[in-house]
Amino acid sequence: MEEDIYTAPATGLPSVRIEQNSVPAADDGGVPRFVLRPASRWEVVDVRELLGSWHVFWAFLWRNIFRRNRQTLLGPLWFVITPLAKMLLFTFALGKIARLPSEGIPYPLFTFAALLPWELFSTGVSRSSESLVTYEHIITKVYFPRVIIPASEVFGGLVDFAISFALLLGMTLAYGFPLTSRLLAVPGFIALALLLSLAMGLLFSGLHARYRDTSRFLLYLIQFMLYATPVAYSQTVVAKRLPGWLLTLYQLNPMYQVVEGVRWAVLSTAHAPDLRMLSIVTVLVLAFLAIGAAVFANTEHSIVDMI
Amino acid sequence: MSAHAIRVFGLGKKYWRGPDAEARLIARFRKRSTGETIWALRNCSFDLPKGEILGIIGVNGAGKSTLLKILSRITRPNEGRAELYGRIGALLEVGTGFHPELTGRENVYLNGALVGMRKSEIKRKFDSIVEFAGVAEWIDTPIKRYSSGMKVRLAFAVAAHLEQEIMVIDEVLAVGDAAFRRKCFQAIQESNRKGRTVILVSHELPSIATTCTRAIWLEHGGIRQEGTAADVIDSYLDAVVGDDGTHRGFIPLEVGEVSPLVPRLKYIRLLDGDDKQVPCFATGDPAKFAVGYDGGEPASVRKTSVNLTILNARGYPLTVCASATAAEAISGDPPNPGEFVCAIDKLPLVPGQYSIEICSMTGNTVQQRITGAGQFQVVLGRAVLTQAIPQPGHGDMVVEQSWSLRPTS
Repeated sequence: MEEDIYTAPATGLPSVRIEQNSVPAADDGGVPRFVLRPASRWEVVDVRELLGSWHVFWAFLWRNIFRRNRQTLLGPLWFVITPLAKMLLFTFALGKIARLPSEGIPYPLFTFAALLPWELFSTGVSRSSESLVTYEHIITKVYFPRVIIPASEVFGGLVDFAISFALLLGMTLAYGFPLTSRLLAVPGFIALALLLSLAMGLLFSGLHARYRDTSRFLLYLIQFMLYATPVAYSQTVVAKRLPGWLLTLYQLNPMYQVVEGVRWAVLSTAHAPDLRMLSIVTVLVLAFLAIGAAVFANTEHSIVDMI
Repeated sequence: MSAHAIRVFGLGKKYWRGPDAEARLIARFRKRSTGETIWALRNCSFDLPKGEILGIIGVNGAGKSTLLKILSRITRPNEGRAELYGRIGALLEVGTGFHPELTGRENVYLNGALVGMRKSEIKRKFDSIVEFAGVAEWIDTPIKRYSSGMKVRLAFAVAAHLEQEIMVIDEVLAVGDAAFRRKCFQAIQESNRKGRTVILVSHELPSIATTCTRAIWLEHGGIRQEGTAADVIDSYLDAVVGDDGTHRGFIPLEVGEVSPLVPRLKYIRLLDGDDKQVPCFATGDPAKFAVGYDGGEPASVRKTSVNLTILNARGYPLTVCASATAAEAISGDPPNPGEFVCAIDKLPLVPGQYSIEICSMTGNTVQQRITGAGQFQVVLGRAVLTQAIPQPGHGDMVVEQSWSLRPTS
């Protein structure tokens, strides 16, 4: 290699070994055409383009999931150890001391069942809303539909959730509760939590790119939501004290429906989900998602210049 | 079908110069202006036929990167329109999305997906990519253990296997060793022979001159000239080297406390053969350094000399140019203020960035020493445009030489 170190205009260049690439011929009619123009007032999400970018979504998902356990001796075992440790801490720390009413179910089990969907939701929101800034070095260097970034953060939480959920099922059996066919409803509730998480992630990620106050604000919003959702306490405590209209508002919190729904499905609590409320909440979440997507589509094009 | 790969109509992009969004929001309430809009690119129109290799040249801040970012869809223009006939692949930074904790293999898949390859496509090309990069033994090692050269090679190898009809490449080849860069430019030409259109930004005029078929010269966000690579580079050199800039080519020197008895070093000027101040030098052309001084006692000025050290981009000294003392250089009283002028007939430096270290002496005593006094750029001169000069990384000097061939006696 050392002999050709001069920039003489080369005529017979030695061939570099690259696989024959199939660049479409100039006139095969199959060459796509893009037009780049200034952003219009109302941008919409380009669904076709999004569907064509599945592989980018997978790459991000995969990257988010597997980067965490690198340079650890135990490697993927941590996927199990982390929730297991959390479960054991819960059982021993809360099993003896806590005297909160928990609808006849051991308190650790009662809380753990609600905590899992809650964590899926809350980490999804906080990770996805910060994701555009986290991946600044990528989005300023290569184009792909930006929505993939917050979305992959939200869905990346599913792996941890699935493993923790398996532990929850084991814990349920260990406490002597049977598993029923109600479990089939769990994916529905989880989907609701994910969609809400995505809606908030889309809404806040564009804002966070511009104003870093967003993540501070979100911290408190999520904390407030945690108190407004019966994760660490039973909704029966609240139901007795709230006036009717406030109770309705309390139950319109989508995470209320998710948490209560998962408890009902796994632990067979007495409160079956109210189908009317559940459908209203679902519509609310979908509307919220539509708003989130619209806001994101309209900030997407300027994110790179703003970040 | 269109014979064009890209058509650009009046493209413009503006940026906000001033504080960020949050400060602006507050300022709006106070009805105070905090900055101004500047156009990084304006009224930019050109057509690029299919199968060409277009080089974009211009000084820093001319709008090169902005143009590439718009064409590669990373940012949207504020006005105008561009039509792309074909998919576009961009290599604006090598190893975009490389994650240090993941192995080379995993990163190839990741990076490949990011720049637009399907998994099956990467799988098919994987061996060829690894071979091109020459990192076969390292492929299952986390990227963070790679040398920077290996990272660059792996990243470029992925990009070289892209199948997009249009490739956009920013200054990424400035890294990596000479042999690999040569390989990269060959790969660019190779893929171009298969019908691909390439857009290339580089500060290395030799690379543009030998690789590109066409060139665009951007200046202040607009196109100053468009044409064949040779023509554009020629006028670019004309303007950059021959431009009698009044402030460029003048390096003020900041010296600390100096005894009032000895002359104080004031500046270094870069001059061409006609004593015209120039912003940069050209390889093989006459070059002069004028070192200005001021003040001091006549007796000490007479004993004063200067040493000018030229260092390469890695900070390694290449040579020291030492002057005679003022008394030896001039008969009678030395001028004050005055300049020591170091004239080099044919500048033997290859294109690149160099820095200067300067010191003044009285007799054998060093009076002032300024390390990192300033930098200067050497560009490819017209005189040697078609000659063979070493690639960066293969030496900093061009030695005047003649070759002949004869039978052994």
